[in-house]
Amino acid sequence: MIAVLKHELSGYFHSLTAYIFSAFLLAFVGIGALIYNIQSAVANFEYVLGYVCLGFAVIIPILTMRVIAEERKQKTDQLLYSLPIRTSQIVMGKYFALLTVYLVPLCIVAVYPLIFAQFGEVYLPTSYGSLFAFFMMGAAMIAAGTFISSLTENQGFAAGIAVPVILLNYYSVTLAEYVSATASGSAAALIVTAVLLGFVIRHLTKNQNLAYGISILIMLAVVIIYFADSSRFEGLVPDIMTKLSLFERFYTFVNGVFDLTAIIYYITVIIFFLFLSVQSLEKRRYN
Amino acid sequence: MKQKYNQIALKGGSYSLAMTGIVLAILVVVNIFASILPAAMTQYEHQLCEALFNYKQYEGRRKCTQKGCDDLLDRSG
Repeated sequence: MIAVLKHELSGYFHSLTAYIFSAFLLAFVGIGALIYNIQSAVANFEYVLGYVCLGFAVIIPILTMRVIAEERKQKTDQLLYSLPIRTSQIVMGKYFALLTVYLVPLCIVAVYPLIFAQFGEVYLPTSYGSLFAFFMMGAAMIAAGTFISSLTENQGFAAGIAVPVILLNYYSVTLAEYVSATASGSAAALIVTAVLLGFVIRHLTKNQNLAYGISILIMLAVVIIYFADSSRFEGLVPDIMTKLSLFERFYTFVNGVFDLTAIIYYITVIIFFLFLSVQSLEKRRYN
Repeated sequence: MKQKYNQIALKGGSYSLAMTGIVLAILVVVNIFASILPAAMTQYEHQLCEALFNYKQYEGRRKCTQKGCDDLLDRSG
């Protein structure tokens, strides 16, 4: 894993990727600090981080689009598979390299509250609590980007999927207000989800019977629960959309609350997407 | 040949799906458990501490103004 980590870091810092990423992140944070802390004379550095959040939709795909897609395109993934290391170690090495590239500009940003503290009263625990949550949120999105990159060998396609996924997550709370909160609407959404799951199962297993069977079972379960107690489905889809939002949980830190459940959620998102990345690579490795 | 390929795909795909389902279930349970915990254990409200911090700063400056300590006022801005 260390060898993969060193190789990836060498690749990032010998190309423009790490520098472009750092430049974009520092530019976004700098503009936010100029607007909030300097022009508006607000002491709260965490507002800057809340402002910068939308920038993740641009910078995370830039960072993650080539991590596995490029390997597949160049056929160098075959060399990785021939190494005497597990697939999980390959994914972890690549992921930690991405985290290191993400951490470098954040270390520079971490100095900003100390600078502002020289000119005013900045409450540093809130600022650094928000910065830690900002790092964890970015780490979760990098894990998602890594998984998306593992699905294709085209970097542009990987970036093209990652951008709308992040934007969808960013606007999920707003979109939840427009989604039907009725029981029938939620039940219909779950049935559509079961159909999509059937397609995924069919793609993975190449077996139509299994795919149809599982989809039909899920649909039957939804219909039975709907007729037994439809109140369970009321407001379900908007509730799920709000709970899955990475950004909504970050805003509690901006509002001055250090929420441990949000950190646990970010860690579970990281574990889930890294696990999916390992599964994606294993499928390719052993087929 | 195609049948053998489909059998391999079925075994691999089923294993992958099952593992994904198990991992997802574990992670969902962990999150549900974390959300059930009382707020006193999981949330630390900075705002109250920040208000106390600002009040102490204000009190310090007020006392300095009464007693006359210009150098401290200059340092705090």
